[in-house]
Amino acid sequence: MNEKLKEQLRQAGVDVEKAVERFMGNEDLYWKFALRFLEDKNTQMLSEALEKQDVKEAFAAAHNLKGVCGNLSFMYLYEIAGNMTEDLRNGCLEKAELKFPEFQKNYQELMGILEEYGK
Amino acid sequence: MVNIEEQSLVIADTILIVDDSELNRVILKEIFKDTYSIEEAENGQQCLEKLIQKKEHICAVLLDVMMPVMDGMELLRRLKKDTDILDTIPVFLITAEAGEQVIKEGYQLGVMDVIEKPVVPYVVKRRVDSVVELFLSRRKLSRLAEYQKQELINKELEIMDLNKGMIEALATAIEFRSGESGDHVQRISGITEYLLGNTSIGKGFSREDIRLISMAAIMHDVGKIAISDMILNKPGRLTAEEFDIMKTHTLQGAQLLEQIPQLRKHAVFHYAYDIARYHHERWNGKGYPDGLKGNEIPIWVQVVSIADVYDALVSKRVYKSAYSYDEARKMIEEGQCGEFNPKLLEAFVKAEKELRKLYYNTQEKKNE
Repeated sequence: MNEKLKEQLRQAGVDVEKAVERFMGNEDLYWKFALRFLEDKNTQMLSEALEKQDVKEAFAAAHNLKGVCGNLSFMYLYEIAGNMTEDLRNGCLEKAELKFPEFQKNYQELMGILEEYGK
Repeated sequence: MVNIEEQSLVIADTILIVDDSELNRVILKEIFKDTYSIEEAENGQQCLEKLIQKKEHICAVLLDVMMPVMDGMELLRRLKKDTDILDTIPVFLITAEAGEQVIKEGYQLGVMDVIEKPVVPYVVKRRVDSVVELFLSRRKLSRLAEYQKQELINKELEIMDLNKGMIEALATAIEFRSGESGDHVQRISGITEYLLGNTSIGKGFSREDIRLISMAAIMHDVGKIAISDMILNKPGRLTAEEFDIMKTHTLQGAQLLEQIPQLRKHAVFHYAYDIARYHHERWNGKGYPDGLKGNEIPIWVQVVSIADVYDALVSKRVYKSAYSYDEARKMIEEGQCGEFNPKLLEAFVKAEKELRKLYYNTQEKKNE
């Protein structure tokens, strides 16, 4: 992971230092799993569940997202997903829906970086 | 004997990581892979299977809560209800849902610690390492305690063996002077043991009593050490005076045994003293040295007396040749060698054929 990549990630809300620390200093291992996020289906599932007004499914997806983003230290996404999880745990689909656009915006930004550097 | 090396061959050095998310498992694995072996499971069911398979090797379980098929809490409930695994293997809940409810139930079900996700490596490591070390020490201590207990028992047996060996050596050395071999001493002990252990005469004696009495029987003639060679090994009949001196071997034997401090303290002593002193007493009171009559003579002495007489009859001695087994039995039955307790006599006559076997063995040994 070069310095340029790390800087971009930081800009997108990723706590790179903490993340690598979680992977016991193994940058390559971290990056490997960060790239796997490109295949993560949970954001899509969340989107569909919100549309269908399926609280249960939305909760599951948000919860998973929270976990993954937490592990990878995608801090913005982690926070939003966390809040949405609590909303959905309490059955408040509307509140969660309100937060989702912000999530998506951040999500796209991050995906862009991963795609670019993942080649 | 217990072999502690064998017991500690299975070292618990494996951490079982249970989480349905591969990412979570990878992170935990990365933290612990340098110091532990790692096993993985995706849900509670798989975890159970691994635990059954690898129980001896596992020193900790890192358990997620949210999993399909069987979640973490369900697994814990099962473990608590159906096994006592939680007593020997620490379980750590690793969960994003570290709320009060989860923590409370977790502790109630027996988890060691609840660790929050996303994990901070040095925190997880420290919390897990210290508990694992604690459990392993406990296991080691309890194995050590078991081992030491067994060692103590082994040592005790060794000491008992040594004691018996020393007593046999002493008795054999003394008997040696009168041309007896160690076999005589063994046979008296063997006959005594057989009669007490296998006939009605031994009723009421515990195995331990019988063991002590047969050990005591070995020392019945130690008093002979005080009798001069000339008398001990005289081929012909003893004069009245010589016989009086010979008779003193009973009192001398008892006195000698009294002088041995270690023996005084031992459970065998009171049997040994009686036997040494009274083995020439007879049922009708016409024995020596004290002229005890009937059941004044302790039963353990009576048994040794009859053993001594039988053995003397069937063995060649300086002063006589050997009688046959049948002759010997007959002579004893008819009271030719002094009067015995009728009950004892009856038991002896019944058992006599078995007693002969003690002689076959030694004869075989001589032919080797």
